[in-house]
Amino acid sequence: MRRLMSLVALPLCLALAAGCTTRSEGEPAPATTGVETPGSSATDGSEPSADLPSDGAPAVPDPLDTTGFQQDPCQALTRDQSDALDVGPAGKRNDGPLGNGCEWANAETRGQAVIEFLDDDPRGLSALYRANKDGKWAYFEELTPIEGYPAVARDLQDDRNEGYCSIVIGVTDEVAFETFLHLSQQNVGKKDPCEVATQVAGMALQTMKRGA
Amino acid sequence: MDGALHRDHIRSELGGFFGQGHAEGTVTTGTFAYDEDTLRGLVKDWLAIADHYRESMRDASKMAQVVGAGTDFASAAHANAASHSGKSYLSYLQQNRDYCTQQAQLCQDTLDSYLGVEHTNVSEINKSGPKAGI
Repeated sequence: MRRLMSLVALPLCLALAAGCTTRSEGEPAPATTGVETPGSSATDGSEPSADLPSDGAPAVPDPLDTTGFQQDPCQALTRDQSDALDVGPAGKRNDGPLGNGCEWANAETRGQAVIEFLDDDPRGLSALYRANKDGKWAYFEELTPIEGYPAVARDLQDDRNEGYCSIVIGVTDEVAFETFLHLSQQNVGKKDPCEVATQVAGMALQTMKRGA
Repeated sequence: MDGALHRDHIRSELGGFFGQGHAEGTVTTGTFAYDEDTLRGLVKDWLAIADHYRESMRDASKMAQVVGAGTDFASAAHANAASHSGKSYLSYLQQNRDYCTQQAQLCQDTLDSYLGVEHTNVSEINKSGPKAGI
């Protein structure tokens, strides 16, 4: 009889306990291990880490909303600016593996400027500093902030003496864009490609500030 | 740009030339006779292809940012493999770019010899001075 009472009482207690429980809406999420290092997430478009900047990257003091330019990077240089650079009146879309891009080129002089967002990697400049820690770049140089935004020159191939330079500018802690430059043949050896790339990035930032 | 695209691009760049009957020799004899304009066009075309390879190298630079999804061994190994793959791809692009630049230089040297002028480097033509713009 006592055993029978126990069998009846147990489900009753469970039912009462369940009735006292309140439900709440929520989304399941993986538990953090506590050992994950900042910037260790894959470049899969996941949510940005709250720990940015990381790996020695500088913070972006005045984040810039570049959403519109991320959708259409060809708006980053005005016609006057591209005319001054002698790369034709209009850019041509040239999207890259990490975001949308636009190319301005002069087929006669071989001068070329590309502005490409790297926003599919949500780590901004921190991703480049991380790669630098791993010794992946052929060159990596911190530049004086451009229009107030931190920038680095870096590439896997050091062909600056042939007129090429690639710089990356952080517009927020999570979003960066690349300015790739190839000097016209007449200016190879006469101008510093990284200086000219910095000028182009400055023009683009001025445009973005006006359009933000 | 992958290999097939590069081949297509090379055909589109050079196809017109071969189709217009400028070459007066044959492949079996290994001799060709080019006029000046054709040689200048070839220099430009080879350099354009080299520029396309450089463009692909720029895209490949993004491979340096690949990291593992987690801190486990499999993630690290996967990222490491991707990094090696990226290096191999970059090396392939570099070799092809160099080849195209060398072909352009050969054509330029031939043209300079024919014209009896000093040989010029194809990457530094028109060295009269810096110009405005890029």
